Amino acid sequence: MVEVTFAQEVARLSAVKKAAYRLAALCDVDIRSTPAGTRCELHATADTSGPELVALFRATVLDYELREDIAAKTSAFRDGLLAVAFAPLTRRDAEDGKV
Amino acid sequence: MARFKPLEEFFAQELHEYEFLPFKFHRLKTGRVFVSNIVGEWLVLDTQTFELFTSSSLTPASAAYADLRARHFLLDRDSGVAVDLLTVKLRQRLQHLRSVFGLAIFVVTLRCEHACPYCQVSRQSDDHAAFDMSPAYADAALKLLFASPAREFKIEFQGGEPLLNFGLIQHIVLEAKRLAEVSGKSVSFVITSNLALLTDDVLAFCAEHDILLSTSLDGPAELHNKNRPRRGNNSHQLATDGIRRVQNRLGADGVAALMTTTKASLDRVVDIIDEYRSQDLHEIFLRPLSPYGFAVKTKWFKAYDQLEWLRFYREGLRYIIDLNRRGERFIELYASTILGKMLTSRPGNYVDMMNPAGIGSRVIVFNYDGDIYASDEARMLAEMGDKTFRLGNVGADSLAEVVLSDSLLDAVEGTVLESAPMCSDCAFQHYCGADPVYHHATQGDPIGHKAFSGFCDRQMGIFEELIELMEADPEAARILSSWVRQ
Repeated sequence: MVEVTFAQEVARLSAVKKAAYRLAALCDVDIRSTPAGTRCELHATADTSGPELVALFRATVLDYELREDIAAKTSAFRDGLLAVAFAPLTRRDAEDGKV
Repeated sequence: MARFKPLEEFFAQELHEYEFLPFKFHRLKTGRVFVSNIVGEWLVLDTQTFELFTSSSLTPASAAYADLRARHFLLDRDSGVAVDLLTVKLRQRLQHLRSVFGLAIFVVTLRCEHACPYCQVSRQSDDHAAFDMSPAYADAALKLLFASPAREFKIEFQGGEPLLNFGLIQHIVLEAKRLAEVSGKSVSFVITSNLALLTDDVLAFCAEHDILLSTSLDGPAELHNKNRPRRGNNSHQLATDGIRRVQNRLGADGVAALMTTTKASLDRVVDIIDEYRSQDLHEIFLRPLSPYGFAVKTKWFKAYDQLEWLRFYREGLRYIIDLNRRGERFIELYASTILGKMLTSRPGNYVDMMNPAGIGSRVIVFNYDGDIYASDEARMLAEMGDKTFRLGNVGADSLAEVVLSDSLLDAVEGTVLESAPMCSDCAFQHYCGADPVYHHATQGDPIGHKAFSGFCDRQMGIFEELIELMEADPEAARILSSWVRQ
């Protein structure tokens, strides 16, 4: 078992959870909230060394944190684009219930 | 020199503020970063550029900035129409959601005179008339099909060996053409056959009604016959004779062939491709075994893993690219399908790679016993006793009951990649699919845990391979692009 802790200002819980899910074929992760941050116990299930696993898990968490950050910053664009893409093109289409 | 100023002169050197447009990223094994936007346009960046971009520190003077702006990854004060353009592109990319039933499969019989241990449909021996579709079921299926809003569709005859019930094929073709004429719809036909029972009468009928044939060719004779045993041990001879006869009668495009990768195929990919070339076939679909039917019972499915198959695939793909480099046009269809999604806004027609899943909406299967299934794989699963994806029966259910059945809607809704775990963050989402039947068969859940998914391993491996090839070798990139169907 190896352990790694993420300060909450470094990685949100959702990013840690997604990283644990992504690496489920390599390790089981026990995730707990502590005053120091999100503490993760990594239990290797595949032939990966402890230091390798920690490095991989850290990198994966940081990537998911970046993804969460980008998604938050672009959610308004995403929602707007999808709304327009699914909207009727003309008033007549709207009246006919067509998209 | 200086008729034109250098590029950087056109941009202010101070940091240029920009906003992100929605995008996803994936770190490639090469160390570079693949980024794709909301409509599937993509770029590969070096790590430093990616870090600068995502920390909002990329300067407009850099070449990457212009690329990222042109491909709708960022929005600045000069990108006036970007959002409008993106909307149009997104709308175009989603067009396929409006179309239904591009493909209708009629399983006219489950009987077969082959005894392939990897058979994914669990064929029956050829003396059981109980496994033939009846004309009444065929007529009811056609009635249901023509009641759908689809304007054009392809009817594919499958088995077992469909030529064992050729009389019913003739009946369906004539009736479908009559219904198409009455309704103003368009219909085309394909018979999937091992060609062992091909006769002049069959060929004449195919020629008269523009029916194409699709067959199985697993490689050179000894490999093909090992994979596809039948009495007389002459499957390869009959298949290749059949291919030649179809080519002579219907033209070079009258027949296509599919191969299935078995353990014995893994170190024979060049021989397999050369066999196709020797039969004047210029396309191949390097296809892994699927987890259905006898392939599971006989344990052939588990005889190799996805990594072994990916090695086989890579070797084959590189050999095919080299053939093209030497001037011989030859296409690998798995790559062609994925590239079509990467390089155009078209979603493609391969049901396994559709999002949302194309089961029950883009394809529908009428089984020999009148049951309706969401896909070919769904009926394969049913022959193993699992009828999860059974949508109804032609004699008992209306079209609305079939397409709105809970078993279909739950599977499709649950596998929309934008909301599926892992897939929702995947940069390859636009080029991939959900394949709920595969995940149900292998994990007991239509969504599946992608960290344990052979489908995901295979898809990711192929995406990385194609991107690596296009990145490293401009000639390979040109060849791969040329495989995209217009």
